[in-house]
Amino acid sequence: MNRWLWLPLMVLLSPAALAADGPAEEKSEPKVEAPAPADSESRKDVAIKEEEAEAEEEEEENKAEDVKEKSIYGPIQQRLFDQVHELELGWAYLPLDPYVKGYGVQLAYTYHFSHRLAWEMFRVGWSYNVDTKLKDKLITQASNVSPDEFPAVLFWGNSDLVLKLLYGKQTFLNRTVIHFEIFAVGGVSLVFRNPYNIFDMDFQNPRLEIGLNAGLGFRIWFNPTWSVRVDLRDTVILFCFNRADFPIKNSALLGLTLALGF
Amino acid sequence: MRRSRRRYMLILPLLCGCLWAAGSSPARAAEAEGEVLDYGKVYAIQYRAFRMNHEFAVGMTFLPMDAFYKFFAGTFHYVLHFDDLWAWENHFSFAKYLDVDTGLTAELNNRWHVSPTDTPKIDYYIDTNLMLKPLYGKMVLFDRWVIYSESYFLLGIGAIHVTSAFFPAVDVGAGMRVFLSDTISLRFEVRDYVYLEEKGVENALSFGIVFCYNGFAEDRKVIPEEEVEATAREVRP
Repeated sequence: MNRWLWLPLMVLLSPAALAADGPAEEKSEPKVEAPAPADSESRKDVAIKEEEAEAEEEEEENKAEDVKEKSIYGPIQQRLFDQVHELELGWAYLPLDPYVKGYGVQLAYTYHFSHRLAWEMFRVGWSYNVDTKLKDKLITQASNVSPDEFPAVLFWGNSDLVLKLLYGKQTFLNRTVIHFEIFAVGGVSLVFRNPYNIFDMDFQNPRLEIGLNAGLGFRIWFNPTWSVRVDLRDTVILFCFNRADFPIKNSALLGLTLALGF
Repeated sequence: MRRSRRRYMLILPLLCGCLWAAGSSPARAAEAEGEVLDYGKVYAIQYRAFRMNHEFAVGMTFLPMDAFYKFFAGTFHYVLHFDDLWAWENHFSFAKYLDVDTGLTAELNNRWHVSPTDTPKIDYYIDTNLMLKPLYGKMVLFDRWVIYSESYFLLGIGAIHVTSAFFPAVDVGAGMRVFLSDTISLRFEVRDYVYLEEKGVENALSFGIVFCYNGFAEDRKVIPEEEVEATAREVRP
């Protein structure tokens, strides 16, 4: 009898047991969640990573937008040739003086701030002056003309800002790519003018003058280190220090220099 | 023998130094970013965006080398472009009445009472040139605007009318064309005329800016497939 009583009891109690198992499981859940701190950390990490990724994506989008803003043609290729310091040595021709033509050498150092701006800290040069036919005629045919009356540029020193306007590349016969740059310069000039060349050692009538200069230039790169520049500049001489006068003279310079960039 | 050895001893270190300098320290930016400096090496070349056909042009030229006068000249050009490399230019420049006195005549007169009598003026010149266009490319203005350009060289013959007579001339030049559209372009050029005058050989250097119209431009836009294939074959590594 007892056996038959146990069965319904067992049947009746089993849901209770099952029900009791349920909360037991529910209670055990926190046990499963016992390593909760680590899990929450990982979730936080994931969330942070997602945020970072979103931020990166946004940055990239912004960058892309910036580039689009910068150029209507989309991204511009990175410049292949660039330099910070530039040292130049080359030839100079001063053609505008009606009495002499100057053939000289020049040395320059330029510091490049960016792709657009540079400072040509100094450009110094020396010119060997050759008399023109007009000067020869004047000295030989006119009795009242003295060679002392023709001061010509002997030394010059410039300090200029360089604005690098254009950078480009061209294919030569569809085979070789040549990189080049076009720039404008402007700054101040110190000019030493003397009627005689340096080898004559006659500095009786020198003129130390200051002026402004401006010009354009063109550069072709051979490789990342070496390039060739062609410069066309004009200097307007404004004031003479040792004579305290305002000569307002014009002196153009055509330069061809080899530049070392590093 | 000893002298020659000494010379070698001097020359060799100098030569080595030059070679070392030439091969050393490439520029900062490119190296820092780990770029491969493949300058000059061609992998692929874009097809030309602009092609010239019949070019009609007007411009302004400045001739700064004369001591007594600086000349301005109006210029007129017709250029027949045979292909992307060769063209034939016919050019006329008119400088009469457009000269500016430099003040040298007055200076000579005021300072030394000298009156120069021999100051010939360029009136006009006409020449025909072969135009070689080996360089075509693009450049970027302030890292913002892409500009297509072409460089060219000129060699020709002509005649210069100075004061009262014509003199034969030979001219050489170089320039850069900037494309503004399919039909409009600007040319910046330098030319040097060497002409045989009564007293001898004279020289006239000119700087010019030319406004060009590309006539029948659409005809040159149709590119034969054979030509495309030939170009592709040329640049294939």
